[in-house]
Order: sequence, then C-alpha cells, then structure tokens
Amino acid sequence: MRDVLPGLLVALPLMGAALVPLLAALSRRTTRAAALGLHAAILAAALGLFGSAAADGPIRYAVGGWPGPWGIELWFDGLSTLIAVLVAGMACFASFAQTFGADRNGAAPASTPLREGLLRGALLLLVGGLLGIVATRDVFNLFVFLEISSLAAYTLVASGEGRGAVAAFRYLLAGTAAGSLYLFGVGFLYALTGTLNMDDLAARLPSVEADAALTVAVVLIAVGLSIKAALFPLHGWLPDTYVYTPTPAAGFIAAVMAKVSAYALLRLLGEVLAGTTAGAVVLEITLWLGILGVLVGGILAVAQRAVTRMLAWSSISAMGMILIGVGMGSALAITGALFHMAAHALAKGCLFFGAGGIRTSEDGDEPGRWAGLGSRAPWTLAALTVAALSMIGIPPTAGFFSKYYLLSASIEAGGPAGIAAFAAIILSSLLATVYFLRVLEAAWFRTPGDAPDVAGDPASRPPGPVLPRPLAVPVVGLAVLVLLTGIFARPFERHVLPDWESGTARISAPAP
Amino acid sequence: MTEIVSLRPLLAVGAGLAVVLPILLSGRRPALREAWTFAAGAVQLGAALSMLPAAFAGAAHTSPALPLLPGMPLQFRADPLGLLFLTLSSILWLATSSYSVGYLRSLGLRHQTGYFAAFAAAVAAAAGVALAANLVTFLICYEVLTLATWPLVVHKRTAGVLGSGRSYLAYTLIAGQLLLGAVVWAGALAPGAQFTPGGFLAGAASDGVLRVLFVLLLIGVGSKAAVFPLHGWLPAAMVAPTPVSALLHAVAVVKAGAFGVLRLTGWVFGPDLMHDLGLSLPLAVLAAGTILMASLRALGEDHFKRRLAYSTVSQLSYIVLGGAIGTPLALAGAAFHIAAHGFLKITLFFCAGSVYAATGREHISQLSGLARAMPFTFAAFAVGALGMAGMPLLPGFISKWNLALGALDDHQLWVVALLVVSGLLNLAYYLPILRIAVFEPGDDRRVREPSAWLVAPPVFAALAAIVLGVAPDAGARFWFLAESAARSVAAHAPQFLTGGLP
Repeated sequence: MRDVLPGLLVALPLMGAALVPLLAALSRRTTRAAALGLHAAILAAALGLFGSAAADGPIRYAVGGWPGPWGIELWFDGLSTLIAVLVAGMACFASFAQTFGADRNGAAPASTPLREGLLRGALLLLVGGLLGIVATRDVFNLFVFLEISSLAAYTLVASGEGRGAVAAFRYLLAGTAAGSLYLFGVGFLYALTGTLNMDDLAARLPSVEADAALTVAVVLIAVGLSIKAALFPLHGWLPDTYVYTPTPAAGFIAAVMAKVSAYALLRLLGEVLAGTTAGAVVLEITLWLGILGVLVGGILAVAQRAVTRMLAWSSISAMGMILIGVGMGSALAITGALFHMAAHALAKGCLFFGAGGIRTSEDGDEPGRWAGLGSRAPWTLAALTVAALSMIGIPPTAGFFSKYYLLSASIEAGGPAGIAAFAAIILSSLLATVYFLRVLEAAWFRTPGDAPDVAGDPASRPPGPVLPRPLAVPVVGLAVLVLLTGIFARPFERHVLPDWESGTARISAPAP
Repeated sequence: MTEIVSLRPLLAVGAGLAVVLPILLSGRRPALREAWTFAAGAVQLGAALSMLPAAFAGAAHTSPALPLLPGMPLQFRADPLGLLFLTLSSILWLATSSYSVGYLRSLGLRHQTGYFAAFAAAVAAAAGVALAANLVTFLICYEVLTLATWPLVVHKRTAGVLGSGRSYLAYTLIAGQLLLGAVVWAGALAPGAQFTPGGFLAGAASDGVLRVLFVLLLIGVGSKAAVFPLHGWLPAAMVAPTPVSALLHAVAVVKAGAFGVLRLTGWVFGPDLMHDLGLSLPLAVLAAGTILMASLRALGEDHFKRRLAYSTVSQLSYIVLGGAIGTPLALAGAAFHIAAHGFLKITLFFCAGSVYAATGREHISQLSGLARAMPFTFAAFAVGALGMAGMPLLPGFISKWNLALGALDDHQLWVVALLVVSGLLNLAYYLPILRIAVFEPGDDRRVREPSAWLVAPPVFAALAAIVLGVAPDAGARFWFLAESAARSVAAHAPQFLTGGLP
C-alpha cells in the first residue's frame, strides 16, 4: 500500500482529467459514473495514506525511483494526508453536485455532454493540482502544481455565464502574479542553496542565513502564496471569483482552494523556512494581517446584499482566522488553524452549494429570497442552518471548537498580538452573527410577501424544488459532517489533527 | 461531598433534547406530538427526583466526563444548587406544557409543532445549565438555550415581532461571545474551570486580570438575567406567546441568567475573592439599582405582561444581590428565591395569559371586574402578587427574610431598607391590578373562565407556592437544597464562617 498509493493519489486525477472528457463521446451516464468513481478512488487513496501515515509514520515517496534531493519526492505526514483527505472528500461532493447543470450564473443552460465532460475533467485536474501541492516535497514542483490547479480553476470559473469570464480573467491576473512571485522566490532560494528539495533546503539554510537575498526569497514566496490564500490585503480576486463560479465548482473552490495555499504557507514558512529570521518576521506580519483580514472580511460581509457575496467575504474573514493560527505557530494555534480549515471547508462548501442552488431556484440572491424556505424545504434549511451556526461558532458545531482552540492559543501567546487576535476572533463571531442570522431569520420566520429587499411577485418564481438532489445531498451530507466533527471534537483533535511540534508536522501515535 | 458516577444527570438533560426530532416528525398528529412533550417532562422530572435522595444525604450524582476539549470535559453534576434549579424547571415545564396546549389551541396559533420542539430544546438546555459541572459545559448549554428560545420569542412572525427577536438575540448572543472569551480565558488560568464551592480562581492571576474577567463573565450571564443596563431585551420579548414568557421568566432564559450569576459569584470567584477584589459592593449596588429602577418602571406600565416583565427584572436582582453579599444566609436566600420566584411568577404569567385567551385584553386598565368572572384565575393571581411582595407564609418571604439576615451578617444595613422599600413598591404595582379586577364594575358579562387546560396550571402553581411558603422543607426540600448549596460555599469561604447558618 505504501508503495502504490502515493503515486496513485496524484496520478489518478491527472489521468482522469484527460480520460473523462473522452468518455463524453459515449454517454452522460458513463461520464458521470467514471468521474464519481475516480473521485471516490482518490478519496480512498487519500484515506489509505492517512491511515498508513498515522499507523506507521510518514511516507516518503521518490517519483520515478529518483531519490531526493535530485529527484522529486512526495511526502505524506499527518498534515499533508489530512489536507489531502479534505480536498478529495470535498471533490466527491463537488463531482456529485456537477450533475446540477443549469445555474443562472453557472453553466450553460443546455449543457452539452462534451461540455459536461470537459468541466468534469477540469475539476479532476484541479483536484490533481491541489493534491500535488499538498504532497510534493519539492519547491519547484509545488509551483508546477500551483499552476496546474490555477489553470483548471480559471476554466471552471470562466464556465459561468455572464460575468464569469470577467471574474476568471481577474482571478487569472492575480493568480499569475502570485505564481510568478512564488517562482521568483524559489529562483532566489535555488541560487542561494543550489537545491529545491524541502528537507535539503532546510538543512542548507543556516549557512546562508546572513544573505539579504534570503529575505527577498522568503518575502516573494510569502506574498505569492498569500495572494492565493486571499490574505488581506491581497484578497481582491476572491469575492467575484466565488460569486460568478458555477455552483458545483464554487462549493469546491470556496471550500478548499485558498486553504491549500494556506497549507503551503504553513509548510514552507512554518517548517522549511522556520529557522530563518526572515521567516519569523513574515509569520509575525501574517499574524497581524490575519487579524485585519478577520475584521475587514467580517465587516464587508455585513455590508453585502447578496448572500453568495456575503459568503465570499466571510471566507476572507475565515482565511484571516486560519492565518492567525499559522502566524502564531504554537502547537495550540496550529491545531486551531487546522481545525478551522476543516470546519470552514465543510461549512462553507455546504453553504455555497445551498446558496448557489437557492440563487437559481428563487431567481435572486438577496436574503429576502430565502423567505419562507424554512417551511418549503425544512431539511435543506436545517442543514444550511447547522453550517451557518458553525460559521458563527455556536456549540456543538465544529466552528465553535476551532474558535475555542484559536482563542486559547491567543491567550497562551499573550502580548499585543495575542490580545488583538483574541478580540478580533470574538468580534468576527459577532459580525458573523449579524450577517448569518439575517438570512436565517428570513428563511425560517418570514413569509415571501413581507421581505423588505425583494421586489416583485413571489408567485413569479420558477417552479421546482428549492434544491435539486445533486445539491441537496452534498448540503445535507456536509452539514452532518459539521455536526459530527463538533460533537466528536476531542477525538477529532486527538486522532485526526496532526501534532505540531517545533516546526515539524508529525501525526501523533494514536492515543490509547 | 461524595460523588456518585451515574447517567441520571445525562438523562435529565437528554430527555428534552431526545424528543425534539420526534416532535418535529409528528407534526400532523397533535396528540402524539404533545405526548412526546409530556413523556420527556415526566422523564426529566423522574430523573431529577431520583437524584434528590443522594443530595439529601450529602452526595451528588455526577455524569461520566465526556471528552470535549483538552482538560475540559462535557460533564453534568447534580449538586444541590443545580438540583434545585433542575427540579424546579421539570415541575414547571410540565405545568407550562399543559398550559401551552390549552393556550395554543384556544387561540388557534400556527406553527405549533415548531413551538413544542423549540420548547423541549430550551428546557433541555436549561437543565444543562442547571447541571453543568464546569464553565465550558455551562457555556454550551447557555448558547443552545439562546438559540432554542429565538423561535419561541418570534412565534408571531410579524415584522415588529422579528425586530424584538433581533433585540433579544443582539443582547444574548453578544453577551454569549463575551462569555465565550471569558470562559476560554478562565480555562487558561485555571485548567478545567470546574465549578467549585467557594470558587477556583483565587490566586490564578493578578487582581486586575481577575477583575476584567469578572466583568466579562458578569456581562455574559447578567444580560440573560436582565441586570441593569442589560435588561432592554426583556420587555421587548413580551411579544412572545404567554406560555413562552412564563417559561422565559420562571425557568429558562432569565432564570438561567440569575442562576449563572450565583454560579459565578459562589462557584467561580467565591465570596472571599469577590470581597478581596472589591467586587461585592459594586455588584450589590448594581443589583439594588436594578431592583428600584425596574420597580419604578413597573409602576408606570399599563401593559399587563410588560409590568410582569419589569417585576421579573426587579425580582431576579434579589438573586444577584444575594450572590453579591455572599454570606451563607444571603446565598441560601438567593438560591431559594430561584424556586420561590419560579412558582410565583409562572402563576402570574399564566393568569395574564388566561385573561388574554378569555378576553383578548392585554392592558391592566381593561381588567375591570374580571375577578368575578374568573375567580380561580384571580385567586391564583392574588397568591402570586402577595408572594412577590414578600408576604409571610408565601415563599417570597422566606427568601427575602434570609437575604436580610445575610446582609446583616455582613453589616449591610442598607440592604434591609432596600428590601422594605422594594416590598412596598411590589405592593404598589401589584395591588392596583387586583383592585381593578375585583372592585371596579365589569363591562362584559359574557366573560367566563377559559378551558380547564388554562385554569388548572395557575391554580396548581399557586397551591405549590403556598406549600413552598408554609413548609419550605417538604417534598423536594427546596430550602434544604438552597441551604446546603450555601453551606458548601461557606465551607470554602472562611471569612464568612462566623455569621450565618445555624
């Protein structure tokens, strides 16, 4: 298992990306079955690696039999396998949701089989790129996977109707800038140390510590990855991208894409470059920007009139929260950051699938459009309510516990940054209360006629269910996971989240 | 105190929670739906009663610690104070449920299924607040309570009502977030943050930090307890159906807040630390101010339920006052007042709701002559009103008497004066209601008592209040529970060992 799965994890999605569009020539059903099967197989591989890394320690895999530091290595420890499971799992939900084709802001109304095949291929390619970023132990290879995932993401974003293309172009500009900056940084590192392998780099960095070029390299890498992670004030691309992407892809991109870049930041700044002064300073800055991002994202989310745009701004706030944890760097803080990654991915995926579907079925995106949905679709709305409560941080949902760990870490850290982070997290919960309860109030307690922000006749809404099954299943499934992660928060923290000690991520031995 | 590890505390908390889904699923069959509610109420009451003998023998049922956060398990423990609150809420939940059935049906209100489901969740959360063994468990139940009560408050769904609901959430959720911050902080200072008689924070941090922490925690619990100036949501929340108001005031939200203040002063900080930090007097003054301010507001309020609401604001600050004084007798009086106020105030609200159900009237000036048409309702009301004012042989007297004695132990003469003035104010705003109802000529001869569902609960609650006032140590032995709770705190507060309990 340990010899086969690492290669499969990255190879399966990349090969599938080429294969699935071809299957479109056969039938839609075959395409769908093949895509779903592939995603399930990828998830199984990720889970297998997770279990193996937990039981027998990290796995080092030399691609093509060429060992490091010359060849490219893949590295599976508790941290990377956790993110891989998260990515692969969300991809399964997204692939299921891709059966949902007609989205007002989304895919073309009469989606042809070929188009569907291509979009499914793009999703697989995106998954392959993200899993590559997660797995690779080579800083240049990481750039390659970053570009692969970005290209696939541009395709998915641009497949939306209307302003999707504009959003994709904007995302492309930001993404290209990010990739280039990162590549420059890697170039500096290579010039300084003559190696691209992360372990080798970490070993050689102390000898070049005094070199000013190292600072330049660290800053370039950090800025590049921060753009992709939507760290304030580099978040400009995010709202339009999330809003105009077709719903199935939006649920996936909003759930994991920025988080994988946050993972790369953690891996590089927290582990590989951890010993350097520049790395420490950049982490400190990340912490403060994270604090600002939490507040700015929350305040602007309150100011939004459209639900999906509000969710997008809330993502900026959540990314700030994760980067607060990354910036603090203590074991407790990293636990909080990773917990929040998982909690936010599940909840935000759920909300984007739901809000996107409701945007289509109710023909509009204002909270008032949700009026009366509580009685029309109680189970779906209950699921969305669970996800929203997790975003606010109400027990017993997962979001409460991730916030609890981050708050504890802030107290532990102390000092101005600790106090500021503490206050920002509390404040962001209050802001989330405001913007989420507005929607929930409309959904549960308002009737379609009396919603203040919706003009027109409620009877003119298109017929059909609130959420079609391809979206309802992921919404309910993710909400159940949000609840389970919250109820079993302590086992989750002990057995699923990796221990983070002195800059190296290691999965803990299963506790007795 | 001996610990008995058992599942009964979990049963008491879980009973209400377990029926939420069945209630939602049996919306088409009202009889079955209501049966779930009564079954859960009976199970909760049974669990509470079954834990009483151990408490009388000086032991406490403790649930196994369920893993939740590092060093902070989810744990429930039936100590005397918690058991007092739990027993009270179980009894009153059953009474309120039967009242609700009559009320909702006679007024033909909609959304009854959601109503009963949220009701069960709210009572379960209140039970969790009662039995929480540490701050985190308390916080979780507290937040669930806030949200479970929201649908009840906005039950009528009109724009104005939703606005009141927002005001309710604004107060309680903001306070909840401050409480969250304070709980995390306290957990960092004192690992486990387990409620300990006499407090667990002494020496855990500098005086300044502890004072800030106290203020955060007090805002957290005080906003639900409607302590001035955090009381604004309570009169606004009177838009809820009357059984909900009854529950909010007597059992769930407001009472949980007052209970939280007692836990905070007696079991988190402890009377000694409160005195050393100089927090006792400011809190007592705050409570005294709330008592007077709310009584004066009640005098000028013509809306029946809102007058009762201001009365609650005033009465619950007795509990805060007792917690602030911190002498054994004051604590015992405060703890007993949880039960005393519960029975009395639920009687008053039931009566107000019966009047509304029978006549549609909501204002005190419209009550003329109704006492003759609705003798049982207004007899019960008289018991509640006199009890509130502290009339002997009714339970309000016992709590106030002990509060006064406890204040004298601490040489706080002004508290006695305050209690006298407040008792007079109580009479001043309750007796006119009776005067109008009894002595003014009625204008409508068709008014009759509403159905038995609506008459029996207030009569039952009033009779229970009389029993509690005449024999406070009979049956569930509320006085014994209050006294042993106070005694356990006093045992760990050596400064106060001199004066107090016999």
